[in-house]
Amino acid sequence: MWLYEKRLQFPVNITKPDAKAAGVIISQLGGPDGEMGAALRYLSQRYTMPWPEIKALLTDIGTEELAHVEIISAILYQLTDGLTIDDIKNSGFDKYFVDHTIGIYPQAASGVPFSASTLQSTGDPIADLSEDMAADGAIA
Amino acid sequence: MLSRTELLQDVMMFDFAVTDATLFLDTHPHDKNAFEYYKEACQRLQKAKQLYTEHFGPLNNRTIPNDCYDYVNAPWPWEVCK
Repeated sequence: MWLYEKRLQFPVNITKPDAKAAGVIISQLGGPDGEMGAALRYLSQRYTMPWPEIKALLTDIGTEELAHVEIISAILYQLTDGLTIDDIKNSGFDKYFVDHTIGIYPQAASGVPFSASTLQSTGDPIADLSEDMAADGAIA
Repeated sequence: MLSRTELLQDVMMFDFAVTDATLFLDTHPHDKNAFEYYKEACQRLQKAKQLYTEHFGPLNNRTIPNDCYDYVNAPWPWEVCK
């Protein structure tokens, strides 16, 4: 069960819009190694972990990743606030804008929409924890 | 009286300490020192949340001390405070 707290985990205060930056940063939201994927990965894997400590850990980390989804979304919202038509046309952001305007839509910078095909939940704890390390960058 | 930004920063700060403590305790639930740290951090967080809520409104829709549903009011977390 989730309770929402009406604040960001970490403050975001962007005063200068930047469509180009938004076009890249969006991968951290809906890309293959983004926060949305991380949240769903951990929250999906926790059910079949054999030990209560790991159920707890994946639940709590997954919850924190949802807070990170919110942070990235806030960044994107502020980066695209007050863009001019020229900003949109000249930054490559026009391809996103045509389908989403300045709405927040979870996708990778490449334009591929967010998909669970970038994560795995196997039911086997070793495979799942290996998947988590690969996704989180612990294995270079 | 501290500003909204300062009180919110206290909440963020103490909550982060609690979050970190929970992640450690999740895999070390019997660690007494960690648990003491966790309890202390929770107390500070509680006070910070209470202070913020008193002066600037509810942080969630389960703790609304005023006699109106001001939970919906601006600002929402992604809005820049000007």
